[in-house]
Amino acid sequence: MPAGAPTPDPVAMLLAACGLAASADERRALAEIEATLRPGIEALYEVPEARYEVPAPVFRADPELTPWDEGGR
Amino acid sequence: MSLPPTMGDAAAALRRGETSSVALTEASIAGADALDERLGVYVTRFDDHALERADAADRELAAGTDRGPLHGMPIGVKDILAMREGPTTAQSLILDDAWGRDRDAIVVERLKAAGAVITGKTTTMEFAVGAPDPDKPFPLPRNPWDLERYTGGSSSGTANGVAAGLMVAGVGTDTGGSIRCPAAFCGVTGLMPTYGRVPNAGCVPLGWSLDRIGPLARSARDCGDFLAAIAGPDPRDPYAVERPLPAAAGLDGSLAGLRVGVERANHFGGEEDPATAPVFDAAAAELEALGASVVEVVIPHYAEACTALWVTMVAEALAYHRGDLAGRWDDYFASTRLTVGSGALVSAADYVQAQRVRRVAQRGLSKVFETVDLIAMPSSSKPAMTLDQLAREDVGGMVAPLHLMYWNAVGNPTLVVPMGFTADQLPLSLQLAAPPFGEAALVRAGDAYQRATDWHLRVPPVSAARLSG
Repeated sequence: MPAGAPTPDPVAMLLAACGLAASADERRALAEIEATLRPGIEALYEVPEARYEVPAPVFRADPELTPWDEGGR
Repeated sequence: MSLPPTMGDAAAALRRGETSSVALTEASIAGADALDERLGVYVTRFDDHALERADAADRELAAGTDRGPLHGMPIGVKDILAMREGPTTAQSLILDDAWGRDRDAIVVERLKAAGAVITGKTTTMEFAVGAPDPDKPFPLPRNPWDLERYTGGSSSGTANGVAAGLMVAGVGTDTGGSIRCPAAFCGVTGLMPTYGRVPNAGCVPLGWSLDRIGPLARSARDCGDFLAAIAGPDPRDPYAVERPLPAAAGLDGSLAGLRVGVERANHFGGEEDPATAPVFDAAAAELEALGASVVEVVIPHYAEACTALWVTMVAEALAYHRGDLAGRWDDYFASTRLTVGSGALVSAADYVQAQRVRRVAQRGLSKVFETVDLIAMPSSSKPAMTLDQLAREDVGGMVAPLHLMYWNAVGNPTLVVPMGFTADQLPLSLQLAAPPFGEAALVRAGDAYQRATDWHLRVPPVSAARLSG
């Protein structure tokens, strides 16, 4: 980044990466949500018992694969 | 004619020959004619279909075929479940109207097989998340205890429909509190089953690892009967599990031998309504008077599990909605845009870490359940806010008074029952939680509490005025 260039707005960058066309007011509101949530999210990494824990959703190699929209009665 | 107070009362009257399913359904329709425009209960009504189904239910009963407690009962279905009789909108301009067309969700199939009379599709928040948007062309659900107040969301129309006497029960869904919040705010009973107890296929998802379908009704016993009709595995839902649902037993009003843990540590100390603590204390005392042994407990990792729930919900919701949000941002409700859009601000690692913390929370909670059978807490620190307040609140302000999200993160079942009123005559609610697949103990406790109290039978002013007028 060239010296003196404006600092990128990380919220705007993340929204743009998803193609979300939030207005300026909405970007500000989302930045406030992020600022509120971020300490709690960072605290998830500080839960000692989680250090060697496995995630809750467990991948199954033998799932039931009958789609609802094809297997109706 | 008005509907009997509970679904059980209606079913008993039906079998005694004192009423018919057609008469019950006509009462439901008359209630909707009188109040739906003011309350915003329905997105779509199926009056003709309901009367046909009611007539068939009456003929079946006359011929000796009894499909059980839901046979001939007028009920509502939240408009995020597919039903072949009409469109599913998810109360949104976004949902492709081809989705679910001419098909029934598994739960709807089961309700029809149980003989239920589905009177219509009830209002929700858009895609079962967020808050109303007055700029969008959908009914605004209003609280029957005060029409200027919020019903709670997102199973709004089912809750205010039951509370106002437009149906005896109905279907809700719960990803972060959406059965229990409106049940609590509208003064009815709601049961969020264990994750996997009820198949979700045919229901528009919000968070796949969180979503649950369950009943709202006036009584815990009604919720237990309703759950029995919709529970059980189906190969079309990979998350629905094969676990027996014990038949309702021990519904004799006694809680002898039951150990109840009262959780205050994570539920008080914020900004409660002045009535919440004394009303909750009275409810705990009532459980003890009914024979339960009551002790204080503390739930570990409570705040972390609530954060894990939020991260999980917005990440999974964004995965579902990202394409539509990118292409049709302004067609979404304002609140939906911010809530689901916030999923863009959590990382993949955040999401996985949330799943690890959910497992930690499950382990910690299982230790608590080694010492008690149920945990009791208030459903919310405050009653329903006004619609004006709601319009000014951000997402955090909306959910701050609620004590619901933790239980979505861990997967356990909970039951909410009315436990009293504020000074302004707004409902307050008691939440009971059980170990996974412990719904029978919840129904037993809720039934005993409701035999000893009548909070669940109170009629909101808008309905009382209609019936007396």
